[in-house]
Amino acid sequence: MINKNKQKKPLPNHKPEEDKKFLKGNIKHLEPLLASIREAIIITNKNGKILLANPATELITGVLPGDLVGKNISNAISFECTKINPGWFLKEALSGSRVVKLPEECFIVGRDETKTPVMAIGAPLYSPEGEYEGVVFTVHDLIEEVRARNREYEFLSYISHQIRQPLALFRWSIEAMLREKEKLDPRHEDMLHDLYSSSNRFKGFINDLIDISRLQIGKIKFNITEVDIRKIVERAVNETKTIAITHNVTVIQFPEAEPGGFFFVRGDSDRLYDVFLNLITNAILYNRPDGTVTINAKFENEEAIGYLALKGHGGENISEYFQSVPEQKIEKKSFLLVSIVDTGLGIPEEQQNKAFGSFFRGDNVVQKGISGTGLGLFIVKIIVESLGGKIFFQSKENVGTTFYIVFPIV
Amino acid sequence: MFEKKIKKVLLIEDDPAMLKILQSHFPGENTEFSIAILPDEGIRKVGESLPDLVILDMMLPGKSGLEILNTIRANSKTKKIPVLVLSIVSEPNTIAKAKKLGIIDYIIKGTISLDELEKRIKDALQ
Repeated sequence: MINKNKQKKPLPNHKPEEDKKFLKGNIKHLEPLLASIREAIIITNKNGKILLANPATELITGVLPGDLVGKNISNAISFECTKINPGWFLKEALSGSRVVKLPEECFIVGRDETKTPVMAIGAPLYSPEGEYEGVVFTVHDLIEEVRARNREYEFLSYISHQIRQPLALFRWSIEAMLREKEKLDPRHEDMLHDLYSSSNRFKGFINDLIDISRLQIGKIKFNITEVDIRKIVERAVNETKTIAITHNVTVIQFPEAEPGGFFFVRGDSDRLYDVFLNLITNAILYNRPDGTVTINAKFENEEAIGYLALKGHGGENISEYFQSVPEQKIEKKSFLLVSIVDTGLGIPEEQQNKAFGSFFRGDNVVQKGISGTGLGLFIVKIIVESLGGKIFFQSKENVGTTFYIVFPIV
Repeated sequence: MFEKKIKKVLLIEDDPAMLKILQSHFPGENTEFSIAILPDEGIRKVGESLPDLVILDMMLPGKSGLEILNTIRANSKTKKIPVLVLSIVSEPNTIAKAKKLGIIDYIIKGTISLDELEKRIKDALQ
């Protein structure tokens, strides 16, 4: 069917005879097979001109395969991503150098403006002689997966909200009882204080869960402005003053930066504040007495950051990250690298690959009886990545941990 | 100046324990509380007693707080009555909608202390 279309209409653009030869030699006999595959498969030549699209393509793009053939994929199919600029995906795939995967949270925008969440892969296609001929794009419709995931998070959000009501009652009742101290047995008063501080942790946990469910469903709308990281860090350090004093930890801000210098990035200041508050609090709580927390920032190029990222955890796919940053920003020293260095307990080596997972708690920290929900880093990572940044760390037990956050500069 | 005006507060809330704590710990002698557990009962009582403040929950059996707020605002007799929302819902969308309908405060249950709650209810009564 598709083949007929092609034979009727000569392929536009250059070297049609070569494309025909290529099609006939390599793909034609596979068409019945391609027609039965429920994933969209689009084959282009080296320039991105669509040579073939299987029938499943219509389900995702809303366009008949026959109408796609002959057009350039970058005009014919509209990709949209929440976190990155999708342009690099097609460009990188068409360079033919490697298999390229479209990152999470990307969509194909149909003719009727409907957005279908997809997972797409572009893989180079070689002739039997081993010559690079074009690209095979495989596009998988994620709508069911996204729906299932959203149901899960909606459920989580519902439960977390429902817990707020009894939690509020507990807390307000305890507070009311503690107001009448004179009527309380000292033992009971003590218990009520314990109950109240547990309820504090519980409250934090529920708020974290609500945050996560909202971040995951994408319900949090970021308020993006130009933000001075220096100001955000100052605010967070100020907020953690009391715990720094209690734990006897010194917090040093930007020792290497010029006084009065700015570190502007594009981001949501409230959410970035959450990120730094979380990381600085951890760096203090998991430190040793007399320890230090040093926050630094500098402008760096890809090479220097890539080197650091590959040595650390969470930075494994740094090259994909660099590629995903809009092109005009990729030039020398075009990233802001913020580091938060502590002299603390460190993350046990065998657990480092799980540190960004939900409910992660370091064994060494748990043994010391330091409480926490294990959701902080998980939330931090979601926020940083949602704002177009990257986070990774290096850590050594009993020496300390350094968290690095990378942002493309404004 | 010497005349102490009794302030009427209507609680529209379906959780008995929550009602108890709100009634027993709030603003003291010059306040008179009344209660509505069901949404329609709440709407009726707002119209009948024209309270000085309505404390409204967002999740009630059969009708949402937003619907109730909408009805209160649509009635010329009650449209100016101050409403304070006290709810477990922290969805920015809901908060924005409530604010658009005109509320004096939006408090998320369980996120503030009793002292703070009292202060904000007192402020709302001013």
